[in-house]
Amino acid sequence: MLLKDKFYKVEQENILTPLHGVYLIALLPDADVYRGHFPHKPVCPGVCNIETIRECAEMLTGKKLFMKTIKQCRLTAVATPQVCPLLDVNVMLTPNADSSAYIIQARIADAETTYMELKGEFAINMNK
Amino acid sequence: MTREEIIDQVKEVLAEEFEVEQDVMTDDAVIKDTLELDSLSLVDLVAVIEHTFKVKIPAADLPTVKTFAQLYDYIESHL
Amino acid sequence: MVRGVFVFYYHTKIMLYQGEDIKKLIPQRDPIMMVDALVSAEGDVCQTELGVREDNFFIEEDQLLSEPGLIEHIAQSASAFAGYRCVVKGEPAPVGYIGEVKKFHCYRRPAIGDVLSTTITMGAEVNGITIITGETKVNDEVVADTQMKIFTADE
Repeated sequence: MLLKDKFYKVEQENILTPLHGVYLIALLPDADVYRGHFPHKPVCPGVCNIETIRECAEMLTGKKLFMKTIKQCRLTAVATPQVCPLLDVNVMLTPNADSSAYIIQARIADAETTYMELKGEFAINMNK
Repeated sequence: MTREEIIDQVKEVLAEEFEVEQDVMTDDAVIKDTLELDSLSLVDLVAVIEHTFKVKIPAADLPTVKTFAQLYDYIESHL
Repeated sequence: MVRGVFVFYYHTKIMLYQGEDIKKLIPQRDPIMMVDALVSAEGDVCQTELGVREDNFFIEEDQLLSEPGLIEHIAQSASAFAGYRCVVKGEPAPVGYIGEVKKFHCYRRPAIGDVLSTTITMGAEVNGITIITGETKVNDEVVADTQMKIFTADE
């Protein structure tokens, strides 16, 4: 995985159903990406949070998922390893009609703030 | 383009963009409440109208466009 | 005049900004710089390029670029365009944040060696939030397209 143990570490995995999981992650303040995003001002790149959602969905399903569509992804607050060292990544999946993809709804938040909400369609084992 | 054609087209594109039923868009309904607009989706509204009718609604004019009837008026007078 | 013709003849592509100069337009730095060049800019449309290298931050174990890498490339392309528009007016480049990604489609994940060629179109702006659309091609094949909203913060 691109970011697991490099950008974040999974502290706790709560599998509520086979298609619904909540991952408590710790953002790693020494992640390499902060050298460039931005120099002297570490801010989580929104796209890294999107990738984190995908990786949590892959951990939940045990499958490689291809981000076919993001219907809507809102970045509702600026996340940094200082502002939100611990985050909940909530992933809910629904198989599509022919079971070739999951409809995903995900949220990254801590107790006070929602940082990201995402709706999309991730295909299973495609384009590898 | 007649007013009826404007109304039909507005309802069609907004129903698709904001995933609402066309019949909730009555003339006197407040756009912001009906489409549940916030600062981000307000830009979608402006962009969809601009794309469909080539009518730009500057931020300064937005306070005059509260209801759907006012939106039709605005488009009609700027076509 | 002669010199201009010479330059045009010998460089099939004239870049507006490339190499180190791109840093004048965007605030991102290594390892997450995702634009190599601003190829052209006219009116509300610009074109950018990125060569996908082995050491790209978004290259996965299967040696293909991850989809968020495409999103970041499109966002930084828009940022470079906004930066260019300010720089030509003598103003500092603004810092933009992605507020929303909407209707993103990935058709194929690019491979190492592919050159991404991206067209950005600036759309409506309301209260500091601008809609942009981006389409990324490799050769003539569309690999991704999206809509995005960017918050512009004055710094």
